[in-house]
Amino acid sequence: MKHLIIFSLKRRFLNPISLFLQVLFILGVLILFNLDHLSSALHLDLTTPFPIQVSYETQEYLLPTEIWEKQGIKLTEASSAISIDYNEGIFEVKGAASISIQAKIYGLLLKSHQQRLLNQSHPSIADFVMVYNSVPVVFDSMIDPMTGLRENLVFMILTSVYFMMLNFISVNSNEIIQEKSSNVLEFILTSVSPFQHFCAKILTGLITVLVQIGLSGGIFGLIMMARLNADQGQGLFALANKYFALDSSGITYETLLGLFKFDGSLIIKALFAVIFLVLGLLIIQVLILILSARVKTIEEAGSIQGPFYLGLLGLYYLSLVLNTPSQLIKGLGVILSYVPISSMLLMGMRILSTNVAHDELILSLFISLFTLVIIMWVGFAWYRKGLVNE
Amino acid sequence: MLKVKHISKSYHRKKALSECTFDLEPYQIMGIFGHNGCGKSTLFRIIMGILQADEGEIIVDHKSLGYMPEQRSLLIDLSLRKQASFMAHLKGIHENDLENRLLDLSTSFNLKELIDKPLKTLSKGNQQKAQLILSILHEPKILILDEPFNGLDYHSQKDLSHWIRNYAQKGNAVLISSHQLEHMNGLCDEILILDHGITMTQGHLKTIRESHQMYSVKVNADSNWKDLDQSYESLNAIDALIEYRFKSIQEAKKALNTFIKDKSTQSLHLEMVDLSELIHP
Repeated sequence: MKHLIIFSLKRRFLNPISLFLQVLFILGVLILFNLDHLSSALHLDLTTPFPIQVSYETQEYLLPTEIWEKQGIKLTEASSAISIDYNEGIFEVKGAASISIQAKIYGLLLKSHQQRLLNQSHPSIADFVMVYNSVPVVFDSMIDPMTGLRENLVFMILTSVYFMMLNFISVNSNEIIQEKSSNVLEFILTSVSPFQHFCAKILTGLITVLVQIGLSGGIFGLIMMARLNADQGQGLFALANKYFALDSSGITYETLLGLFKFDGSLIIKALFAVIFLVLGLLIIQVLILILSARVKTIEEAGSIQGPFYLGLLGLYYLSLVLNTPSQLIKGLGVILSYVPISSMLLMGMRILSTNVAHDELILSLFISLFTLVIIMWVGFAWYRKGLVNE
Repeated sequence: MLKVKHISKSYHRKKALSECTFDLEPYQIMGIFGHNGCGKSTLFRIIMGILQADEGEIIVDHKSLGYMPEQRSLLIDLSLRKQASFMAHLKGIHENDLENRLLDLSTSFNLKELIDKPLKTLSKGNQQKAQLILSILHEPKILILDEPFNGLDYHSQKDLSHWIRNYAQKGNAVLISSHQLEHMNGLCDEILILDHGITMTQGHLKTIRESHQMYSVKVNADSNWKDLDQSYESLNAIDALIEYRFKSIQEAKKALNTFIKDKSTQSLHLEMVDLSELIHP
């Protein structure tokens, strides 16, 4: 079985197309982390400041316009999609600001607020500290920008892994169909039992995903570290200021990590989320393996993966809809976090966005594990018959 | 060495193999003969453990088996060396042993120059040889060859027959299937004839030939004498050409004399009926 796994992995990773795609990925990440250099080399106008309407009276409560412009925002009295007003000690931000712009505005308003407080006298240190770290801001959407950003980032990472895994499920399925159609399976089954073949395929699928995540994550991390170590990625952050929610003034690698709050508890939560993701995908993988083994013609093969992709795409969109803390603590969000397959995304999201009780976690984990074992047990008989077209 | 005891197998209630029983001993070459769909491949796949029999028992050490399936079972984008390396690992052959064996076998089958070429660039005959090499890499004591002569030209067929005989002479046993009886002739010590999964007969080819001997007399005549003589049973009658079959040469000659006396007889032909025709009329 070991050699079957090694052989499959070699064929998957050490083929010209895979190597070419890896090179493309490295190029893509290199471009991403050097986008500022590229934009200046190509004379792209990516640094035009974003206009925000601010009255002359309100500007008195804000940092100088030069500082705002450094962050990619131009304060103007002319009409704009977004406006800032200062009324009775509260900043009101009106207009359809994206979450990234909101985050940037929030950071600059906080600094304006802190700068103003430093220039004032205070009756006591305690009063000063109390008001120093918070600025009264009202956004149209009432979203706390930092929280929203963090949720979105976590969701992005989770769904990236989700789609990466989905891609490799089809690889397994195609491999079985190829082995069957080329009759190589007849040869292989003279050396390994159908059960070993079944387990080898599942393990190969899992190892493939882990290797790919490791490779992609490693390449991404290495290039990111190289750029940050070179110049703290200042140019990149300045560029990102305009389009993303990164308040880059004095930002360093450490502060960037601080934004994600990668503390011990988040890492444990992320690990649990990954476990649910892996369990869900193992269940799907076993189902696709069983169906692939039953395929007798190439035409049939094409019809297997389609419905799975549609279903999993549906699950992705559903999770997009439910991706708010309020929807993940009651109703459909909670129910689906117990259901095998849907729990791979929704329980992960619940763990990362809300507080999930330990017994809830264990119950959902047990349901997924139990389902996996049952599907493997019952499915193997079908798989065996399918392999040899019995 | 290999004992097949009362093996039966059905696919969706259709009997593919029924009560098949035989033994295979060292130095023996046994042929399984039957037309397409008679159950030969099913029998082999059951012996190899790829399929499970509904009834019966196979007594064999599975590690001693080597199997060449009827259809091409190759990863054609790989070279023979690479695919052999993969198969060798699955079979637990050491890398050094593999190199020596591969060299010997590729030399024996005239594939030494093509060993590093992708299998898809090889001719069908050479692909068949490559497949045979892959099935004997681990030096099996019992070699099972499913329709090994398919796709081979006359000379390659002769070479393969010669190689099979040599392989058996080393103390190995060979189980071989074919739907053409001439391939078994002079090669197999014993044959087993399958028809729709049922064992029709089993034994030495010469004995089977003798016991199933039959003679054909074909006569081309205008007269209606055939209606007058009811003791002969005609097999085919196309216009004036009629074929009669007889179990002994004496009977055939007697009929021949009768036909010769008829003035309307235009032609007469006497021949021994091929065994395969008798099994599948």
